[in-house]
This record gives sequence, structure tokens and C-alpha cells, in this order.
Amino acid sequence: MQRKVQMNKLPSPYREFTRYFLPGLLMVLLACSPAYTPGSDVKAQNMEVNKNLAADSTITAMIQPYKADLDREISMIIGWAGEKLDNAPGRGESKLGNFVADLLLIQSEKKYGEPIDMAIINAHGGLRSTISQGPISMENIFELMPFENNMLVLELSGSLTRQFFDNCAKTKRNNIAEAKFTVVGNKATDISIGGKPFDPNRRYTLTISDYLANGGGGFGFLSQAKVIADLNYKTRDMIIDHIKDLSAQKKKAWGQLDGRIKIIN
Amino acid sequence: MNRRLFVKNAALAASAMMVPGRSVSRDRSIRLTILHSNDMHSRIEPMPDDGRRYAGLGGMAQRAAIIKKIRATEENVLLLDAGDIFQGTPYFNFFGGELEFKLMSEMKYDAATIGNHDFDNGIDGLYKMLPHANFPFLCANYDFSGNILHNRFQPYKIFQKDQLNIGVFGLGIELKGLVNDHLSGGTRYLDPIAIAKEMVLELEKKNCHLIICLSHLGYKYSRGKVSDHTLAEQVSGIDLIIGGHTHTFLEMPTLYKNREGHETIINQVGWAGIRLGRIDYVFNRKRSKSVEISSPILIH
Repeated sequence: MQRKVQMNKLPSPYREFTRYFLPGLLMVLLACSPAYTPGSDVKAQNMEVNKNLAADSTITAMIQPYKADLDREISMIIGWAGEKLDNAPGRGESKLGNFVADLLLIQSEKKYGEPIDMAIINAHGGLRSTISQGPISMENIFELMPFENNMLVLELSGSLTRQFFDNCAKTKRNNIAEAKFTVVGNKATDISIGGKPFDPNRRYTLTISDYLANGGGGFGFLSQAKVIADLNYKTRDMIIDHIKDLSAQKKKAWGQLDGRIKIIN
Repeated sequence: MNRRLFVKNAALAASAMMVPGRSVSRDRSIRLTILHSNDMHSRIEPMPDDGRRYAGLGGMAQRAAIIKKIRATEENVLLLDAGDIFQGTPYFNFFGGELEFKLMSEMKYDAATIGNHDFDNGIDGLYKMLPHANFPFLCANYDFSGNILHNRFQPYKIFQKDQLNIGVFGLGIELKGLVNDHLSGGTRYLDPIAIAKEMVLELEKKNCHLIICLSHLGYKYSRGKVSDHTLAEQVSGIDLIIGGHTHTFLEMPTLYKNREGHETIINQVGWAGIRLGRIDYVFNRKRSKSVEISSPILIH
């Protein structure tokens, strides 16, 4: 206000100059100077974040209720194991592998609504922990199956089925349900499916994780198999639901070794 | 418009640029600090201290404290994320990404792009979480027409920092083979190179002083697949690529000079919030020489 009054005291031409022309000139000068460009000297630092640094209290407070909920959920006991279920990498079948392969078949058939010939689990590599005797918590299952794999039902021709068993024989990382075979060297022999000898002229259905179906674990040839159902059901959720089902029937989880994979060296 | 009115308007415009308390010297330089993360994979808390790799590293509360400290000394900060915010801890399995978005909003993220794992609960799962994010998602090469995410994302955003216009656009990786069809819901992947060229033209036209690409393409591949290196090689005009997907830990950003002589800085900070990337620019009105990246003396 004061400034305006002072300006008004100036003779008219000066007033015009100060008010309009001078800032305008400045503006033109500014416009003529080169545009801003990033300088050539760039500083960079990829800083480590770790638990020993100060924590922001607002963020910590926001996490707290979620953490409390999560701790409660994850410590929830969903069932019981009658014995320790362990993996047996490289040695064919295992109690853990058989247990999971069997339950994947049961839960897949339940969701699919029709019988499926067999199931597979990449027990060695895919199952990252064991199930101890006693109570089974949600956290145990997250440790056992941290991956977000989704289950698919495939239809395999006879020759793909043959390749499927040969890859199982070669890698010795997988466990199966409703099938039997003997490993001689790196080949599968004496294959039976659903209690009947393997018939190279028929087609077989298989429940399998999308990870394996998409070529993981050396199963690249399964890209030629037909996907007949995407169950939209996670491997982990099948395990959780099965243990809950057992629990509802007052049953415990047990492993069984029944000679479905024999290895002859 | 008569001449006098024009002069008057120009004068007003000029005086509007004179922010009180600041020098208006034409040689004044402007500092800009870019902070960034990628592939945080729902790692809300530091990695469990159980002897695993990276035990005790990361943590969003710790990251937030560092960011606050930097904001206290730097006036012009842009905080960006290059995707795969979701998946990796039970926080995602139980809460679907709600906490991740809320914490990023509290930390004042300016923008993020979309990674393949951000589709893990499908387009519906991502859509449901969007109200928890108060920052925009930038993605120029996914076509969501016909699905629930249509018009939910923008290809780019221009941020005004002091007198600078900072153009940021996002690029996503090919979904086929990474994201099941029922999760991506018919989202179409478009050629990132062609789209990036369009973005650069658009952002240059809008007088951006710096062009940043938030990319989830991946740092570099041995075979053909489009990566941040391919982008720097084939698209001139991008000043900075903030990358993700390949979980690459770079000690220092890579400076890539392509055949046309354009220089692009590529940076990526691993995953799980184990590191926070920081890049400091000083803008001035001089013609600049070749870019040189150095690490600052200060260590937090």
C-alpha cells in the first residue's frame, strides 16, 4: 500500500516506466537466457537401510496394528501332525512329498469337480521347510510354501506323459500322487497310473503348479500340453485347507511311504 | 490485446516469478534430489535377523526416517518407486497391499510404476487397493481398455520443483509368461521403445528440464529381451532411468552414452527396501558438458 502511494507521487512517465516497462524488460532478459539444464556433476549414493537406523515413529505406529493382526493370524494353529514330515532330496519319495502330492490331488479334484489322474509337487526346491510333529501353525505353512504358485490341470498325450516321468526320474526332485514308477539310471520304467500300467496311447490329466507347467524344474516340454483348467487356487491355500479339513475330521497329518518311486542304481 | 495491456501482463507474470526472499539472479542454480526404491516386495519390517541373506536389512520405518532427514535439508525432493510393491511377506497375503500403499502415502511418494507382481491379486486386487495410495501410478505401455483399471493410471506426470519441470513416465514389463491371463484381465502390453519415444517428444514439448523413466523392464539381459540398457541405447532424451524387476544392486548408477551421443543414467537399488537410491542434480543456465557421476562425501 505504502509503495503504491509513493509511486503515485512520481511524475506520470516515470511511473509508467517503473510499473510496466522495467519488469517487462527483466522478463524479456530472463526469457533470453538459456533454459535450465541439469549440470554435468551428478552426485549419487545408494544408501543401505537397516534395523540399526532410527525408525520413524509415525510409520512404526501405523505398522503396529497390522503387525499385531498378522502375528495373531500367523500363529494360528490350523491342525496337528502325527509325526515329523520331512523331505528326502534325491532319494525319491518322502513323507512330506507324498503328503503334499496326495493333498494336491484331493483338493484339486474337489475344486475341479471331476477326477484327475495324478498330481505332482516339486518337493525338493518347492517345499522349503518341514512339518514337525505336533501343532501346525499358519506360519509353518508359509515357511513350507512361500511361493504364490497357482494350480492348473493339464492334459498330456501319451508321449508327453512318458517325458513327464522321465524328467521326474532324471531330476529326482518331484513327488507324485496316484502314480508309481521305478528309476533305472535316468529313465522311468514300470510306470503305472491309477493302479493300471501306463498306456502310451491314452491321454492323462495332471494337477500341477503353474511354475512347473510354465517350464520350471526342467518341464519345458509341458508347453505342448493342453491347459484344461486354471483352478485359481494357490498351492499354499490347498495345503492350509487340507490340514484344516483333516482337523475338522479330528484327524492328524501322517506321512506314508508306499514305494511309489523306487530307485535302482 | 493492446500493447499496453500486454506489457502490463508480462510485467505481472515476471513479478509472479519473483518468489519473496529468493534471489532472482539469472545465474541462480537449483538443486534437485531424486530418491527412489524398487521391488520392495511387501518388506514392511527389516529382514528377519535369522542368519539369512540380508538379515536385518531394509525396513520402511527406517527408510522413512532417512527420507525425512533428507527432506529437512533439501527443498526439492522427488520420491519415486519402480514397481513390485506387492508380494513377498504375509503382510501382502493377509492385507492385500493396503499397508504398503498407506505407508508410501505417509512417506509422501510422488509416483510409482506397476510391476508384474502388482498383478498378483489380479486387476481387481490392485483396483481395490488404489484408494489407499495418494500418489499416482505412471504407466505408458499398458493398455487397460476394457478392464477395471481403465483410466486409473496416467502415462506421465510433470512435477514442478522451483522453476523446473520434471517429466516422469512409467514403463512396464511384458506380462506374457510372468502374469497369468486371469490376473492381468486382458491388459495389453505395448512396445516400450516406441512408447518411450512418444513420451520423450511429449515431455520435451511441455518444456521439461529433466526426463525420468520409471521402468520395471529390468536392468540388462543376455538375450534380446528389452531392458533399461536397450531403452538407453534406442531412445535418446531420457536423462534418468530408475529401474527394477531384476533386483540388481548397483553400487553406483550406470552412465550409458548411446550412438547419438545422448547420455542416460540408469540406477536400481536391489529389492526389499534394502537400499534407498539418491541422485542429486544441480540445474543452472549454462550449457553442460558430459555427465559425470560421483559419490558425495556425506554419508548418512
